[in-house]
Amino acid sequence: MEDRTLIRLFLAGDRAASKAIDEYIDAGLQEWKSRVGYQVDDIKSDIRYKIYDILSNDKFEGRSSLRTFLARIVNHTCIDYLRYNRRFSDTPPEDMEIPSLFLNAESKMEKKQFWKLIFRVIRLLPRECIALWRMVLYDDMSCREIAVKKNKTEEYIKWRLWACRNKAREMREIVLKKDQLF
Amino acid sequence: MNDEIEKKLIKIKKFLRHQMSPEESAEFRNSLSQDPELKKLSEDVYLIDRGLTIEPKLTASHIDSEDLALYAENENILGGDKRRDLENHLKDCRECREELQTCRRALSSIQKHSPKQASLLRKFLDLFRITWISRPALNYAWGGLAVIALALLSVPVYHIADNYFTEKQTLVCRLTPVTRGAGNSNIYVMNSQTDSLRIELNFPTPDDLNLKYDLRIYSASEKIIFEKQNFDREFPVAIVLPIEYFEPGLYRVFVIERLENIMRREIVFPLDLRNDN
Repeated sequence: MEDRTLIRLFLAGDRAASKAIDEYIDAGLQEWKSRVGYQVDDIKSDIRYKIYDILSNDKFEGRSSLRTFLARIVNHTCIDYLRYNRRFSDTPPEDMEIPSLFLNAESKMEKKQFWKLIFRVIRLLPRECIALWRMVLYDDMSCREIAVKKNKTEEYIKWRLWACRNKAREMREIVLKKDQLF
Repeated sequence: MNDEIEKKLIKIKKFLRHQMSPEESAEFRNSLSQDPELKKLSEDVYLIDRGLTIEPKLTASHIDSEDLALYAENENILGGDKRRDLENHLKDCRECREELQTCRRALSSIQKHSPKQASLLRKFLDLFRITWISRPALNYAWGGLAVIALALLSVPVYHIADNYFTEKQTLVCRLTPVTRGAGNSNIYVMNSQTDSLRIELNFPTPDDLNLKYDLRIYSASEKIIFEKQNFDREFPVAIVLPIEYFEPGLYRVFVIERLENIMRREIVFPLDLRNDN
């Protein structure tokens, strides 16, 4: 089946097309499974969301084949999870400098879940959103200053920030209501 | 976002950065309970703000995951400086090299994969489902036939299944670490009934420290077969893996012992897996 047809059918909710895309995802995940195995459900759900988001917003330019595009999403999602595990699996980020001995098991678990939610939301957001919000929150730039830097209108920047905020909220809902897609 | 929201945003930032006086802070908390829009905005900004604190730590001293995935597809896809930096980094970073290898394998698996055709059974069931609505009498006949066929098949199938499952075996590999001057005694032989491997590791360690362990199994070609991180010491350290992960050959099991985030020692267990023929 041609890529365009498969995408069209997938977006129209065709069962066979969804299954075919799922099989490609599984084939790629197979290589990562031994390293991120126990989180495979979360990873798969994030990958599905990213794919759906890109395809439904017509952001897939078709410069590479659909399979290559799917592999790209699978790969960078798995790398992010792997790095998160390496860095924070035992110690939540804000406690990196505090020995974990000071936290009891229950609060450690709650913090771990909270940070995992944050990690998933931030990794599902488009990079452009992260860059914009970084300018607002960390570089203390106003919308006007960002507009000048980005060579856009102030209204556009305000609108993008607003859209990104809504996206973050949407992501949070999706991560909490796992696997609502497909 | 209008000017009023931009003003609210400045307040939220001050609150999150603990830059408010106690009075201002109390007033802000009070306004949170009275202004649902401000509360909602604060929640969202808090979520993004926390995310921004993790985000750089994920890529700190490593290649950006999206760049690495792109490079795995096509080495020429990244521009001059970016590509040169990435390749220089790869020379020194084992983790990124391993990730790149896995990316390439995943890409190749997806390229080679061809979606399965619906099985005969699925086609049969689909047929059954459609006709159920349109021709119920025929479907009762189908159902009756299926029950008779199941009854006739159940005895031999039961015996085949019984034999099939009882013959499968787990090969237990009790590994000893490498010691200087000693040969590799960890030789284990698989046979056609082996369906999983139980790898047990035993090594002395102090009980009084809050130690953590990472474990990795490498094949002779340096491919990571299995990885487990941040587990506590239990006696013995044991993992059960499906036989599909392994082919006959040499493997190395690495265990890294850490106290908080400081590595104390690395223990290597060789494993020589052989076939019985």
